[in-house]
Amino acid sequence: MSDFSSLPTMQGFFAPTRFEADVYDCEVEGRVPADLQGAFVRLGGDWLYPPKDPHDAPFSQDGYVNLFRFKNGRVDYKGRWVKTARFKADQAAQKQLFGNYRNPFTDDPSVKGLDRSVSNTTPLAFAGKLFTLKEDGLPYELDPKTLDTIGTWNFHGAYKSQTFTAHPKIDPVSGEMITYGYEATGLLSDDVFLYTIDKTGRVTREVRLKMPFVSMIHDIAVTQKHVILPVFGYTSNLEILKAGKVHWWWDDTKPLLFGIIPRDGEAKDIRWFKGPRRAIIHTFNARTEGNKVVFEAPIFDGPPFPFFPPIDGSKWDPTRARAFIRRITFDLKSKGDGFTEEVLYQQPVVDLVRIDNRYMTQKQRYGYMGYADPARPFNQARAGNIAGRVTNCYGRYDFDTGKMSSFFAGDVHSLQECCFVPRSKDAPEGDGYLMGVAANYAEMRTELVIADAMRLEEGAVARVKLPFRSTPQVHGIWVSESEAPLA
Amino acid sequence: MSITRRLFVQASLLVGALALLPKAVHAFAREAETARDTSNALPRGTPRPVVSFHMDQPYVDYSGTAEPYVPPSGARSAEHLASLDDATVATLRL
Repeated sequence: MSDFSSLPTMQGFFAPTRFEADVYDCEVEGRVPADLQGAFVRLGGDWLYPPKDPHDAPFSQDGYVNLFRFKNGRVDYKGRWVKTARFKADQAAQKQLFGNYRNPFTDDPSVKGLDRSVSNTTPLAFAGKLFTLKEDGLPYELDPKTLDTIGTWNFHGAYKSQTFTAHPKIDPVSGEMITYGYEATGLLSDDVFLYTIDKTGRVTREVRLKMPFVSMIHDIAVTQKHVILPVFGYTSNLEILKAGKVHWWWDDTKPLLFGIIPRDGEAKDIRWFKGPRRAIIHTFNARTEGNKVVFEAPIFDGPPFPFFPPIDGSKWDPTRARAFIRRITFDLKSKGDGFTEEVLYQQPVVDLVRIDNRYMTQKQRYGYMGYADPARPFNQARAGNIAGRVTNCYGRYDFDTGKMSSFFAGDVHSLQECCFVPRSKDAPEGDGYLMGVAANYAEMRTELVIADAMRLEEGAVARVKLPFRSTPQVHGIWVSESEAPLA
Repeated sequence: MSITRRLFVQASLLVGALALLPKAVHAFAREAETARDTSNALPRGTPRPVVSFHMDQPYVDYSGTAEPYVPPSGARSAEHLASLDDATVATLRL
């Protein structure tokens, strides 16, 4: 039995959809560029059954993957559940068996020891395979043609961490993947296993690290020479979990720490830098310049998520839950443990940021993200009283000039994470398309918007309109036809 | 029977009191309902949670101080069809 009627955050546009779908030759407004050949794959969650605890985090939603296949100017859509072990157990029991976010103490005894991951965060195309990722478990492999779930993948048995990040980095120079798992040896462990995996999917290197405290390490940054791991105030302990709470709580007494380790280094080579409290969920990129490491990210002053509250019982503060584009520079020659921080752009942005992935590990000029522009029109009568609180624009931030170019989605729309697609594999940086999904709150449906990344102000070149509202997204990627065998 | 001024005033007060009785009963019932609600819910002074909106998602603000989220009141999927009669629906090319 499913009854979502008592859950106030799961009503209207935000009600679970709970169906799988295919749409052939989707309705398109405008013209889909013919040079877009591949697929936009987006991953997020939907509730198969209501959460056991209404206080649970939305990050516990069952994984749901969407694929927009672009071929010769036509777009087909496919939406499927990620059929994890957890999904299958719930489906068989016809109810939610799993408790709060990353807290097995709240589970039904019948699922003790079963993989709890809902695999709902990031799609990944690597070594000819398509995966879904979530940082509390191993990747799930999907059939890229059908989106059928194949099962978990441990890289031929050589990947030993129990967890795998949602943000592995692929070095475009070597083709290698630098990846990691935190809480690598089990719940609340302070172990991080760092891996290099070659472009065929073989593990070539493993380094086992200890963290200063158990923390959410959602994303890292990688240069040609170094790996940078941010550690900050989202933490947890056994008492919290035994009390039946969600996994993460914000501890204002914890500093921001960065562990920097050479890509060819050992555990003893990690060096820690320390600064004022911040939260870093996602990163743009990083680079090594001589003796300096330059790291760029949207960084929050405080905890971003209302559903992971302060551990001291204080009220979660939305004014600190704003991310600003910042640059942090580490001097590897210095004897101290400090770093310099610059705020590069004074307006807050959504921290789901992207770059042209061909520049990963090296200096990039452009960063892409959503942001809320309160000066743009918003039709509150048709879309609710959320003017100024919706992501109505995509921006291209120019790190060289400090200028933000912007795409406006519409007066009843809110944008989810964007993705940059180069016009061709040899196109200059920034020459290509920006695409992402917009929620149309007034018409209760989902639109995939595509804009020329060099001409964002001109608006969408095409909008692919689904006749329903699709599932919420966390992250989305472009998969070219050379990266995975698409239908 | 002659009507004295005193009798007239007494009768008027009685009629007025009878007329107000249903309202008084209703008000009392509402007060009792409120009292029952309060006894079942939060202690006096505890903030009442509110659904607010952050990062493009609704969330429950337990402090009760966040700006409430008010969804649009417009049409919802096939809601506009609900007002049509069967004969009209049958003539639509859907």
